[in-house]
Amino acid sequence: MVKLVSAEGAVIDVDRDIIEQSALIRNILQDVGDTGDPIPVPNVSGPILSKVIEYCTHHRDDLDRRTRPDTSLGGDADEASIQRAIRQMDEFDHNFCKVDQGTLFDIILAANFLDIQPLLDVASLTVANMMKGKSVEEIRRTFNVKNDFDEEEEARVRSANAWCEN
Amino acid sequence: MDDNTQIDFLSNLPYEIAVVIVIYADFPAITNIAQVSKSWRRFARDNAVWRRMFLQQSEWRTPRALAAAGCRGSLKHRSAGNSAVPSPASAINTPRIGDSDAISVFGHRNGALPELPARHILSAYTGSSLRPAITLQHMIAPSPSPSQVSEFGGRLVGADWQHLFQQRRLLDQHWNKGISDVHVVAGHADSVYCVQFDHDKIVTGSRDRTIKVWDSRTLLCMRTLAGHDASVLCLKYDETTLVTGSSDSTIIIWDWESGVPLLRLVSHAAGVLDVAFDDTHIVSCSKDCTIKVWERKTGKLLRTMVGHRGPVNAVQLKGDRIVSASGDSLIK
Repeated sequence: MVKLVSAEGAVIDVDRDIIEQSALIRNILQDVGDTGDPIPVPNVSGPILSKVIEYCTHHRDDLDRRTRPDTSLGGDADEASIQRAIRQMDEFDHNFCKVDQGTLFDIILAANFLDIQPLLDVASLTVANMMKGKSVEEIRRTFNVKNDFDEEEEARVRSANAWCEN
Repeated sequence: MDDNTQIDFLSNLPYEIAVVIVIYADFPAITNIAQVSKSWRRFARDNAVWRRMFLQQSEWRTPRALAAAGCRGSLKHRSAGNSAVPSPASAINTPRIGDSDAISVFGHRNGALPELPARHILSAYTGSSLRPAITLQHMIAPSPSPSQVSEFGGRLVGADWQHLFQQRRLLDQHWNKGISDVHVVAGHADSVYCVQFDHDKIVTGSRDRTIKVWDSRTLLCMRTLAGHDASVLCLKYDETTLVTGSSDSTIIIWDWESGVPLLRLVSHAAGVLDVAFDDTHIVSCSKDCTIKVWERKTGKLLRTMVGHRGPVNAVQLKGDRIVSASGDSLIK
């Protein structure tokens, strides 16, 4: 058992093999040894930490998610890992990411801080999916982004993008 | 999804995570992302994003493949339909990765700026009613601003992937829609019957009994080869040699360097309709219904193949096979 301390100071117990999906925690445990002392995770709130542990618990046996993709035959490492993330996103992941934007945002930050690449991938992919198939205006509305182009700039940006149209 | 909270993910996340999100989006989404706001535009312009977009297009030859080939490549041309034949001169040098149809390659030559992707179609008009001329169509992407590609440690760095993507996509669109720059090159005094081209030159054969060599870039006639006594019906060339067939029933092997006929192969009883050759042999077919095989070096007639009952219109040679097409409706 490993004890984590959330931003609010709450102590959460988690099995070591589960939380070692976090490269950050794994490295701490390797470097310092498992002293039994609680590990502070000051950037992550209790509810988000629970979500992250939920994800790690579900995927505790999916070892291939944690290894870097094999690029020994050549090929592009980034491309391979992107393709794998898209392929591996399963129903659990989809449901796991069906949360409000605030939670999803915090999960991304937590996954980044704790260095849990597969979780970062599925959460990022979820955000990207929210942009797909939407018009510019719909994207603005979805993410509450203000259009800060003036008319002239907007026309220029649109014409600069004209080559994209079929 | 609960939409109570709305968060501008891209602007509020660390830059590298925002870029990854954009990378996960698809091409239409990325073009929209660029138009959302000023800060979003930055992400949609990130080079990593366009690199991914480019590499995703499996039919496109990637500059990475080019790097593997030693960055020797320059433009490749490929025939479309039967309007031109692949250039043997430059196309063989660079190994091709992927099985897709030929693609122009981005690259640089002797440290010069890389050239834009271009594919060309040549058409030669025949028939006396048309003006004797050849038309060169450039399937080329417009706005020829050079992209910066350099090679470092065997890997391409500093490539402007958005530019590469853009040019390559335009090229596809042009092929699909048939958009092209058309240049009319006039010079022959009569109908043009045959054409072949490569990066540097376009070679045409005409009813005016001459062969003309044109500069691919300037489209100026560099050389006129006279020797046949009748229309030049077919031609093929490689680095060293040009072979032409004529309705005077003969075949001439020309020396590229000097432009003089090296050998004249006389044996066919009627016009020579097509020629093909490899390192050792020359194959010709004729209106006299025969196919003849010649020794390339000496011009010695090795064999006459009589199999068709009609004029043999076209012939190709590959390895130990000859395929011929004839007016008797047969292919052998």
